[in-house]
Amino acid sequence: MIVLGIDSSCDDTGVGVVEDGQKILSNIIASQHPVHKRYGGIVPSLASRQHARVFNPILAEALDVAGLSFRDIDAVAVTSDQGLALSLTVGVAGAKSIALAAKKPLLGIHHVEGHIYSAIMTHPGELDFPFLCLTVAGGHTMLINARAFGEYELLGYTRDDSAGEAYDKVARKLGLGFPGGPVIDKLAADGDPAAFAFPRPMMTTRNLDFSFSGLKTAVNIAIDEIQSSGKPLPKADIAASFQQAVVDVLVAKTLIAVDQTGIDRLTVAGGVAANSQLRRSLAAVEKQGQISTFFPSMDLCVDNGAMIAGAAYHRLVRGERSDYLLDSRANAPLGDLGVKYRAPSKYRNAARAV
Amino acid sequence: MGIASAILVKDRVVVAASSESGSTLSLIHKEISRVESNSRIAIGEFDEIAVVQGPGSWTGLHNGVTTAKTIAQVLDVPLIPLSMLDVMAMEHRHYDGFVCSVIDAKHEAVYSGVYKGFVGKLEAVAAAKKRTMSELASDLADLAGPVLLVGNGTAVVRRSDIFASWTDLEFAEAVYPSAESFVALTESARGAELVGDARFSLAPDYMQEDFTAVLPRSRSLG
Repeated sequence: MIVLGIDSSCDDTGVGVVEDGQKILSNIIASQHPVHKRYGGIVPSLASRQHARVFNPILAEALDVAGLSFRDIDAVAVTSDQGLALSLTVGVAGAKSIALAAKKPLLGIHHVEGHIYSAIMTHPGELDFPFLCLTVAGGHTMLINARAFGEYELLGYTRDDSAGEAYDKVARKLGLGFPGGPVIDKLAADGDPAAFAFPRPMMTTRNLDFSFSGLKTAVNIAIDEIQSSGKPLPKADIAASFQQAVVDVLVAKTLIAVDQTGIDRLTVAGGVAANSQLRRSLAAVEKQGQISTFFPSMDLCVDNGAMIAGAAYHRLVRGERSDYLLDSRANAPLGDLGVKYRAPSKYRNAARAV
Repeated sequence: MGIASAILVKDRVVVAASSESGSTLSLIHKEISRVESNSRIAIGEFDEIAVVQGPGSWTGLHNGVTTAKTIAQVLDVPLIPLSMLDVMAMEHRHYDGFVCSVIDAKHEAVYSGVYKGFVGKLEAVAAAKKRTMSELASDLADLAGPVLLVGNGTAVVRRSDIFASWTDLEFAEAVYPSAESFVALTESARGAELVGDARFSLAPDYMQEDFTAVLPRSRSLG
């Protein structure tokens, strides 16, 4: 089965073609980083316009690279759930149009399910259910117990900023540009991670939720104090100390999840999965025999269409379909959990009892 | 909330039309599918696609244009861009005078086009673009004859002091474009079809300079 997958959930336009949920025939990604760089973060209305500009050429390129035509596609999958509302609409409108005009089955997919599946695509036959998935990106930070295809338990998520969001805002404060993850990661290599004792919010609590807003504020205050004293800003040390704090929290929470669930297979998905410090820290833990890590390939860490096509394959073979009324949902439940991103804790706790 | 409409025309005759209010993203494909089944003409037989590129609601245009571009791409057929200002004026093409379509562009400005109807046809006499009230007054002042203003922008014109003393203006606020107006306009757009990769360049009006909305007040992007 050849599935055309589309993702326009945030600031990357991705169209991929995947055979039988595994073999990537093409995976074209148009990054919008140059568009948003001057603002130091993603501007939703600009993101949507850029998706609209590039979607059709990217679609043509994805088919061209795969050596296929619309006739050769067996189904169309699209990120319909979770993301920026204005961005999601472009992919959904495009996917429904392809399905309608080419008379192909259509399936809407939750963006996070695509990220979960990206590790399976990278490690076929090696990664078995159940496994833990630490999803860390600009839009979300969450720990998930992936029990089986389509069966996910949300163990914890951020109560305020996502880790990627904190990276972007600290980078902007340091005047490093956008996106913050890669530039801070690079600069941190030249800094002292112990130079600043930034807080590790919620690191020792037994629940698996995250919080990065306080850390971001602590970094902002430190920068303001140094600047008001007239001293030169030790950007590399700040970057290294900030990154160490983020990674410490992510690793600590992951190990608590391992302890609580007894599951030691871990995947890390989302843009922050490319972070070198996070990879080193988890590799060190793996070396001690506590976990087995499965990272997606670098091109599957970012938002892309191939992971959506891959995730959709398993639902399509089970007979799942969306109809032409498919709409986008910026905040959508993952799987059967009924948990909304950033939902007040009273709803979250109730929804966890599944 | 918006309105999603689809019209299927064969040999200049409307053979099916369907319209529903709600989420345009959710409904537009259902409406297209509905005209397909009602007419018993499969989408694969469509020879060309026409779409309103604006002015109008941001979300509605966004969904409509992406949908039309992608269907045209899949079917590999020409794409015809239509202006909502033209469509509104086409409804009044028999008016004995000038027709000025106006859509509220906020901040005391209107998206507007000025037309002259004759023998059931329509001729643009001033460019379709966003105008302030003084710019609109300047363009209308040159016209020799009565002017019929149509569209929701008439409210903006009515409350403007600039037009308070004008006596040769008529107003038609409610405009419900008919399928026939779309057909007539599509026929008059012959020669302006987009084919091949040129279809990819079609963008809603709000993405073009003349229709760029007035910038919002400065605000934090954090």
